Amino acid sequence: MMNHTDLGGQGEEAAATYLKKYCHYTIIRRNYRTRIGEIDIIAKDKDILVFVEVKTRRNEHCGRPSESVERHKQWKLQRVALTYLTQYACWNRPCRFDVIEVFFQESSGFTLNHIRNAFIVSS
Amino acid sequence: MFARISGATTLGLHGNIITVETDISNGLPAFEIVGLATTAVKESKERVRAAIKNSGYEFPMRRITVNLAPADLKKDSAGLDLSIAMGILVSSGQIPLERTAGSLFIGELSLDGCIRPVNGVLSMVMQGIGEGIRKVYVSPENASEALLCPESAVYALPTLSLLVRHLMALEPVAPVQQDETCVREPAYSVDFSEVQGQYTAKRALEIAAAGGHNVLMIGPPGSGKTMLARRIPTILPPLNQKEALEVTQIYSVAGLFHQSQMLTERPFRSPHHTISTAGLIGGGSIPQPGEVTLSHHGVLFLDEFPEFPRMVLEVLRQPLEDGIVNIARVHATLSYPSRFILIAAMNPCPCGYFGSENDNQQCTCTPGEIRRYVRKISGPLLDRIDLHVSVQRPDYGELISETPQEQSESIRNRVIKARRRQEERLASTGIFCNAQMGHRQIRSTCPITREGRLLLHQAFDKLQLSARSYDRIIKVSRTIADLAGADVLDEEHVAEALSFRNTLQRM
Repeated sequence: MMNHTDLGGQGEEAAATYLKKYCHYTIIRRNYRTRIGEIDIIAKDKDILVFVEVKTRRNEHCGRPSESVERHKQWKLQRVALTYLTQYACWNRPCRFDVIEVFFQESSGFTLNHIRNAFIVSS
Repeated sequence: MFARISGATTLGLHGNIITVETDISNGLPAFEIVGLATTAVKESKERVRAAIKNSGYEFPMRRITVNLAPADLKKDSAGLDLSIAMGILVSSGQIPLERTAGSLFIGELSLDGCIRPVNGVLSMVMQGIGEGIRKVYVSPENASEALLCPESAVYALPTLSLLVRHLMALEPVAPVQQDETCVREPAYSVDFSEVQGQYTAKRALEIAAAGGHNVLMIGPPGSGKTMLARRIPTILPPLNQKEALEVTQIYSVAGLFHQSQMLTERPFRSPHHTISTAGLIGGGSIPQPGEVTLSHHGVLFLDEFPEFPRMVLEVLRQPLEDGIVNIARVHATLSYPSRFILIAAMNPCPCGYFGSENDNQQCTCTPGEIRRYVRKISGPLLDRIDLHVSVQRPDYGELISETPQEQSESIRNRVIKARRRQEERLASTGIFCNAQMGHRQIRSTCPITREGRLLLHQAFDKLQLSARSYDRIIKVSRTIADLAGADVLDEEHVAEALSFRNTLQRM
C-alpha cells in the first residue's frame, strides 16, 4: 500500500499522461512551486494556457476529490497562476483552470475525471 | 471584444436607461460587474452564465468586465440580466453589435434561459422612448404593459435562444400588436341601490366623488358606514388618459399590475388600522410606494379612523394638502404622487352610541372618554376633511322598505357630468378636479353671488373658520354648483357645503 504522497504523485503522473495522450496538450511545467502554493500541471491547449489541479482519492469517504478545491484553494491557485503569468510576462494570454479528479483502486487502477473550466476568478 | 447595450431600471416611478458596457479580454478567467450594483444585480452573474450555457451558446471563459453606467446610480433590479447576457453574447462575437442598435432589453433570466417578467416596465419603456430607443425586447408577460407606450415596437420573446435567433434573423418574429378587442367595462358586484335611506351620506359621497373631496362618516356601529364606502368605486368617474397612465405606472412599479390593459377603474384601497407609517406613505431603504400613492387618483378608505395610531394619521397631513409625498432615506430621496380622496369612518365614542337618535341605545361613555376618543383625530387633520357626515342607524321600516333607491349608474352619470365641467374649466391649469385647486384657481373660477358671500361672511365669523377651511368650503360649494350645473356659486350651494362642515368638534 502506497502512502498518500506517493499516491498523489502517481495520480499527477497519470493525469499528465492523459493530457498529453488524449487531449493533445503540451505540458509546460510540472509542480510549479511558489511561496503561496503549487500548481500541479501547467499545460497548453492550442493557445490557451491551462492551470491544472490534480486531486487523487482512494475512496469517497471524505467527499469527491473536486470538492476539496474550495474557495480558499481556488484563491491560492489564482495567486500562483498570477505569479506565473508575471514571471513569464504573458499577462495577456487566454488562460483557464482545470481540475482533474483521479480515483485509485487496487483492482482497477486509476480512473480520471477531467473538469474543464472548473472555476473563474472571483474577487 | 466590446459591446454597449441598453438596459433599464426604475428609481421611484421614473425609469432609468442603463448603458451596459461589456468587455472581454484575455488573462485569468473572471466575471466582474461594476457600477454600483446591488445584490440582486451581482447575483445575475450566476443566472446569466447558466442561461447562456443552457440556451446553447458559449459563455466565454475569459476576463469579463461589465460596467453599468451611469456609475453613481444604484441599480437594484434583476431586470438587467437580459442586457448583461446580450452584452456578453455580443462582445464574444456570437451576435453582431449592429443588430442590437437602438434596442432596449428588459428581463430577468432563469437558469434554463427563459426570460422572466419584471416590475416597472412601463416607466422604463417611456424613458427609453424619450432617449431614442426604437425596439424593446421583453418577456411575453410584460409585452402588454410595454405596449401602453404607443411609440415603441415591442418584441415579446419567451427565451434567450429565441431572442438570439430573432436578432440573427434566423427566426424573426413580428412586433406585438395591441389587443384592442377586449376593452372591458368595469363590473361591480355592489350597487348604491342596495343601501336603503342614508340620503345625507349618499349626497356627501356623491359630492366627494364629483369634486375629489375628503369625507368623514361618523355613526354608531352597524349603521352602514362601511357598506356605503365599499360602494364609492361604483360612482367614481373613469380615469382619463393621463390619470390612467400615472396610476398604471405606480401599479407597475409596485408590482401590482397584472392585466393587459391600462387601468381604467380608480383604485380603492382600504388598509387595516394596524398599518405602519411606512406602509401608509411609503418606505424602505429605496422607498417603495405606500397606500397613499397606491390610491392616487382614487380612494383611500380608512375604516375605524381613531383606531389608527396617531403617528400614522398625522403623516397624512402633507399628502392631503400637497398631493405628493417626499420620502428621504439613506439610498434615495423620492417623491411619489398621492392625490386621493380620503374616506374615513368612525364611531362617535368608544361604545359607539353617542348622539344616537334612538332612545333604547344610550351611550354609556363618560364625557372624558368621549373627549379622549375624539381627540385621537387632531384638529389639523379634521380641517383637511371637507365633508363631515353623520350616518344614523336606519329604523326597521326604512330597512325593509321596498322603495327603489337610486342606482349607482345614475349617480355616476351626474358625477361624470360635474367632472367634465371641472375639466373644461381647469383645462389650462393641468388639474382635474375642484379639490386640487389652489388659492389662485379658487379666485379665478369661483364667482359667488352677493347672498352667498354674505352667508360665507357670517359662517366665517360664527364658526371661527381657518383660512384653509374657508377655501375648502368654497371648493365644496363649487362642486355642488357643478353638480347642479350652475356657473355662479349661490347661497344654496354655500349653505349645503356649510352643512357638511366639521360636526365632530361640536360634540
